[in-house]
Amino acid sequence: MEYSLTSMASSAGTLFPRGLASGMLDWMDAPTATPTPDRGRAELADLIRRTGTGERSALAAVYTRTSAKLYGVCMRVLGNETEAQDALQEVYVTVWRNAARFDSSRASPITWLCVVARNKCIDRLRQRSIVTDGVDAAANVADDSASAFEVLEKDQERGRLTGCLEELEERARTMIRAAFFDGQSYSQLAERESLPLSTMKSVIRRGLLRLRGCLEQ
Amino acid sequence: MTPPPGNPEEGDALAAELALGLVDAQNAQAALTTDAALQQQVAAWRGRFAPLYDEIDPIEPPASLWGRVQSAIAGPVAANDNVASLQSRLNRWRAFATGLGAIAAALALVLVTRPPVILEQPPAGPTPAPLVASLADDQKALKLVASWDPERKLMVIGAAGLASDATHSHELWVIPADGTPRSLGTMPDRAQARIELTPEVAAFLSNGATIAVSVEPRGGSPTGLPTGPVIASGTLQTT
Repeated sequence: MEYSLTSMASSAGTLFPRGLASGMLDWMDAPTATPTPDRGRAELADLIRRTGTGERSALAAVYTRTSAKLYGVCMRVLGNETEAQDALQEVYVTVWRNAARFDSSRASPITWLCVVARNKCIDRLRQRSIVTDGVDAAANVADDSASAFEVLEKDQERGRLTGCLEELEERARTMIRAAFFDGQSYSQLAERESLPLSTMKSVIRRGLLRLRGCLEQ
Repeated sequence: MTPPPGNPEEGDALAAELALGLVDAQNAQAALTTDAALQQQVAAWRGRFAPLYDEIDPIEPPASLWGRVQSAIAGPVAANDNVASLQSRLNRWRAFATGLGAIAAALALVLVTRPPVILEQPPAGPTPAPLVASLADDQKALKLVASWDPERKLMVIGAAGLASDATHSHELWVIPADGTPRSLGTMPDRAQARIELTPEVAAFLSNGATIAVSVEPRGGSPTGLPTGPVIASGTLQTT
């Protein structure tokens, strides 16, 4: 009896030496331990590319390599296991449908996936806080637009972010980090800090523009 | 919310706000979908904040989540799915269903015709009963039947829908009452397999134990415990 379970895999078997997969996992778990992070990055980028062509086994491999990281992102932003699991499911469905939008010349694959995950979580937070009719539909439209998946990383800026955040005044830094990690909106931050909304906006905007100035130096 | 013309600083601040999600979505998103320059600025801000993801520790999601993802992408709304692949999956499933009947019949024959219990058996212990587990993921695209014949120390696996690839293997596990998975070995790239088990591993196969399949690096888990997602599971039961 022949059910052709893995005919595709066995024909491609010689292309990838044994041991590459476990090397990838090492890289995901401990970035400093691997001698060749570039290979891990290239492999993950290729898996996303193959996912974009509708290859299910490629999505499974992306999931194996990245689900713990992305679940960490969802848990950090949403702070709730049930929500984070629902979000993580949505993330991989979104990746399945939009993998072809990933451009490996503009961003690293793990950054792209983290951005997709965080955006999903932010969408959920905003849907949670706004219960107006029609918002769900609007959020879905926004989600499917190409702009939701664009990420551009500049290598020269990469190592500078932490230092540049340190140079900001403390309140701006704290607020920007809260916006990033907790998905807090302007109005939530203003309420949390008991500040007028306009004051909160100007504190953060000033901080963001100083941050950019520092990064571009 | 839209920046006044001629003020690039304002425009880039808005881009940063959009990248962080500081502003409530509706009108801002509307600006984002129509303004290509703003889109690029938002993309750049997303990249600028990328190092912050390094501060987030990975957390292993529950094993059931991969099954949920598979269910979600198996539906008719999956944009990148195509009719041909659905049709071929359906055909494979039909072939499998037919094959499964044959396996079950063969197994039944084995059980019926196997020699009577020999007297050397310890009188205290009753003859262990054959066990069967049906494993499926949520949307039934993946299906396995694991049959354990304790007399022969032989496990027969029938599988359909296992899409393995060059860098991964599917590994079979038994999870007894103590909750610790023990490997039963990796699944051969065949629809039907016979696995002979050592007495040590066989001792964990009992009525009510869980059988699960996980995705592992090619050749099997390097740690001896599942490291990848569990894509299907089922419970061993007496026939």
